[in-house]
Amino acid sequence: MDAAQPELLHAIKQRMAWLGQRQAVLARNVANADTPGYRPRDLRPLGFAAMTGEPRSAVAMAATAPNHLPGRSRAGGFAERTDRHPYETAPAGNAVVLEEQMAKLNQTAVSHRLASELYRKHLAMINTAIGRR
Amino acid sequence: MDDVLRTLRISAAGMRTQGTRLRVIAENVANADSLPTAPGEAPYRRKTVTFKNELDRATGVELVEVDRIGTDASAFPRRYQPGHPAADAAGYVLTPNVSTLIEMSDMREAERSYEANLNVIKSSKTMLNEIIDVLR
Repeated sequence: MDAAQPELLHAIKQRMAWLGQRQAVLARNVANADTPGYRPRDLRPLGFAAMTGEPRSAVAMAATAPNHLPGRSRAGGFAERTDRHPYETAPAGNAVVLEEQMAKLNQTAVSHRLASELYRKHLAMINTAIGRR
Repeated sequence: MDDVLRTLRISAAGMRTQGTRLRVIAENVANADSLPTAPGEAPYRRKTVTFKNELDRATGVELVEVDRIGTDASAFPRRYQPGHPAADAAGYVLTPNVSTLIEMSDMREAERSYEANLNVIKSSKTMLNEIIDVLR
């Protein structure tokens, strides 16, 4: 039995990184629920290929002076997209629907829980295989 | 894990701006009856808050901030009260352009947004705990 299965751990890790970044994006949406002209953003769904494949080897530019801006695309981050067809838009141009964001947030939290539990179970299985416990 | 920690900063900024908004609403409500003291003077003018999304240079996170606290340019309502010291020749007094009803609904909205940000922080906290639990 190949209990170690590094691909599985890698896939779970990718999934958790994606969920973490999505949480940040959703938090930004909620924080801007009253900002005029703000349109909600979300991450592109994490495909199977992205979960199992090699991590993207983008290189971030180093900030060598305090005036440097980090730029919008962070290396290794997952692609973001703006919600093109929002459910409703306020007169000030804000398209964030708090209920929708809350639902997404809960979905993220549940998936995160699932991923972390899977990770733990897998580690426990490896522990069993090497004779601990 | 870095992203989840970043979430806390974003939500905290959201709560801070909603707090400022509540403060401005409180000013408006408190001054809903601040009449002028002499004819020709203006009564209290309603204040408004606008938000903007700004990149925090130190951390590279986009945080929400108060854009500016402006004033409502709408006309002052007039009330007929000839005995008032600020009444004009026709007996009318200018009153603040604050509508308590609007302020109250605005306050509820600020409250709701504040709670939403708080819930994001709670959910992020749970996620962080789950990550730490993997180490156990």
